[in-house]
Amino acid sequence: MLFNSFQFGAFFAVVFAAFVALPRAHRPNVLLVGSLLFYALWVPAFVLLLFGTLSANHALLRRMTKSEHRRAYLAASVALTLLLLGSFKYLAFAAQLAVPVIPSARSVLSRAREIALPLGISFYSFEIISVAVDVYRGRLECPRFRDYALFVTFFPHLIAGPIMRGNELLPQLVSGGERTRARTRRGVWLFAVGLVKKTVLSDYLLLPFITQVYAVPGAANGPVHLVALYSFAFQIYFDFSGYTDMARGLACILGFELPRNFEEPYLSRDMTEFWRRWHMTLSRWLRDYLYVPLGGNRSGLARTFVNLMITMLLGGLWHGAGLNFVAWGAMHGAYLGVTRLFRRERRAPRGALAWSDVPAILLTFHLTCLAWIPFRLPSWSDSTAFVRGLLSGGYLHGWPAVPLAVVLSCVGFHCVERIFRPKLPSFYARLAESAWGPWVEGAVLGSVLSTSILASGAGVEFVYFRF
Amino acid sequence: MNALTTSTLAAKLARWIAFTVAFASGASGVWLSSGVVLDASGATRQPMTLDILYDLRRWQERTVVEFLHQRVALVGDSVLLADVGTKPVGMEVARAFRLRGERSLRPTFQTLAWPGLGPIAEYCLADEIVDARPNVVVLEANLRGLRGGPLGPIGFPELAGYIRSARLLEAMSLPLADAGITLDRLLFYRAIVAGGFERERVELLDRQARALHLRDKLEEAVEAKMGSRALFDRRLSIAIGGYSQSLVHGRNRAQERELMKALDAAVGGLSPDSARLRVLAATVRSIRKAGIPVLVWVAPVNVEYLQSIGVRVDGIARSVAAIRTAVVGAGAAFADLHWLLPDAAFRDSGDHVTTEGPVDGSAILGSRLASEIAPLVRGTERLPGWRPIGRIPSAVQ
Repeated sequence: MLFNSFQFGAFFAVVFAAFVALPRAHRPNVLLVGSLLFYALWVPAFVLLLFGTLSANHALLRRMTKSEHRRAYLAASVALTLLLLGSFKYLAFAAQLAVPVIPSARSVLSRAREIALPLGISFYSFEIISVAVDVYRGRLECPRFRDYALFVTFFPHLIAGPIMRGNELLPQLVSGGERTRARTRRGVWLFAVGLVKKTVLSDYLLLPFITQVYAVPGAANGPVHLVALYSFAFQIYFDFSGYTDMARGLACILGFELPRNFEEPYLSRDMTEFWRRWHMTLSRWLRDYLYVPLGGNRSGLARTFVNLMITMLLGGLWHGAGLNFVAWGAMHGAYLGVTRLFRRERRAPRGALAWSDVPAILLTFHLTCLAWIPFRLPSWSDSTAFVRGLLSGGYLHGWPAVPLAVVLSCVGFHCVERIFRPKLPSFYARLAESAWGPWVEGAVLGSVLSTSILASGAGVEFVYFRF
Repeated sequence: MNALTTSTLAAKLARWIAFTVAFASGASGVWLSSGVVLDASGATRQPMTLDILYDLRRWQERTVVEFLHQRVALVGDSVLLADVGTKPVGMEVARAFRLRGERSLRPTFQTLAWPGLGPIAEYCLADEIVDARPNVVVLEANLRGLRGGPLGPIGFPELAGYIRSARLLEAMSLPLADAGITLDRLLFYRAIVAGGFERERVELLDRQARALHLRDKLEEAVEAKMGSRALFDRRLSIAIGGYSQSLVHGRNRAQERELMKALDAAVGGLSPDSARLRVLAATVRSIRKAGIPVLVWVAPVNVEYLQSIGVRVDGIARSVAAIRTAVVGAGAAFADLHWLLPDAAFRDSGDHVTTEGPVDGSAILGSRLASEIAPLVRGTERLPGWRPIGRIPSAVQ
């Protein structure tokens, strides 16, 4: 179920009612049943796969804590999880690569293409691995099966993250959450903002123009391609960050805290800062479970570059089974390597933005946009056609006025997010205390609901649901 | 203390009332003003899935009232359609039957066809098709419609509401989610139809579709005010670019890359348990359960052109064999016509047939289909006549 669907509204109302009606000790059970039901309402059969994966991995975790051969159990858990992920997600890709060399792989390719991808498998696989590694390292005690299953399946984040750490969410889930009026208010507003980002900004304002231009890359003039490039950068941001806001909002309403996944990434001053602000939970997972174990930046510049490239290549592959995603990862790996090479200080720029940062922000934004080209276009020929389109001229008088205005509005919204975010707690407090608070809240939230319903004509899945 | 508690409760209640009033006002204000804006702007919309309902009801009414002759339902996609003034396949099939000279064999043909109407939509509408009480149902199987994955722009997911309750358990066991009809959608759409909320849903979808089109109208208005040709140039260049990237230069035939987007699954070789074939087989079983004979025929593919550009077609033969296995196993008769027509009998890159000219594809196809349908018609008796079919949601009238 999409969060912005009527049927999800009905589902959440039932789960929430049961959640608040029952004593706190039973709330984890309600959430577990609700989460499994949420997943089953996509495809019932995949609940069995998910449950089986959880059971097998939990059994390995229990053995790991009692055995001397802890590393072997860790390896088994990671291997099992990656095997399932690989079989469902990457078999067709591997077969496609093999066909020119092994023609008989074509039959494997045909069958592999018919395998449906379990929803959220990329996300929950990473969470399963993170728990296994944390238990191995002693950072986390092996949880009870119910708590472990709930951690992975907790429905606000099951399908598309944020990717959680065991020690972040497990204690909250076990305790049944902490519902307060302030947290509920924050959750409702987070959900509303996410809804606007997804339905109005991403799907209604940006997506139709993007679909038109990217359908035939290279056909229109340079400005159209440039505005489409910017539009896609914002569309994927609003789509994914909107989803995350809705997920966090739902969790808040239930009394739980999920971490932020985005912090105005397009206002980053270099690529290192970008990756601290874009899909933050994925980037920290890659850092802690891949980059650092590979050696991180501890073995000299050349080795650091190799580790960065491996991490980003695999990170790209995680996003999709295609060479275009590998290319995207490679570009970001190169960006990060060059950033490390030329930056004098080791740390990414921090602190408040200044006007002098604008050139760096623009450069970082445009590098990111260039990498979005292969991300959006699956074939090499389409990507090169798009680049040719960008260079095809017409920049004096061929600008698409309305799409450009939409992009500029998105830039403004992005800046407002940055400015307004620290002020949110005082805003919520004023809403709670002032006489005009309920009037403003009611009017705005009611308007958001109607506007989102009206803007949902495209009926589009979250971009990241593919993963 | 009591007074304090009472005043606190009263204050809370007042805030809740204020919130509720403001919420309802905000929501209804936006909704009502959107209607005014849409009407004032003249924003229309593209055809949407539920527009098929109007055609469906008319088709049912035409079919069910025919009790002098056998009723043959031709169900399929745009292959069965033709331009205004030309002869569609259904008309050619009827003509072929007349030419056969069998006086007792004069069925009427009622075509239910929509662009992109494939196995998923046919499964959703199986109960509605049976309701029209045809003597024979002829289902087209287009190789382009048998590839798995989400339904494209011409998808019919909302028709899942017409899968009646008796078939819901079966529907849950089928790979409909592969086409985007997840269980929650299936149940939601079914609840809407079963609860009689079709009109409201159509009105909502209509307003959403018009709101989407409002975006285009706004852009046109802004460009007109600025005296700019940028929008026109963009649309023209994208249209021309689309044609040049998808079609072979100088011919109304698709380039290989474009062809493979639709035909890759068929060319690679489908298996009988592939997602769409399982759904097609289930459709056949549903109609057969009502005692109605079914013929499944594979629509012609431009094999001559595929071979000329070097595409291997042995996979297509395997796919056809898989279709045969799936549908014959479900109780249907089967006709493989994928090889039937030469290149000259196709009028475009979508394998739609010609209806005139030196090679009349529609006539050839109609004649061959008639010979496949005749045995089934001979074996049936006329079913008893008329009963009312459901109402048409007014928003689609």
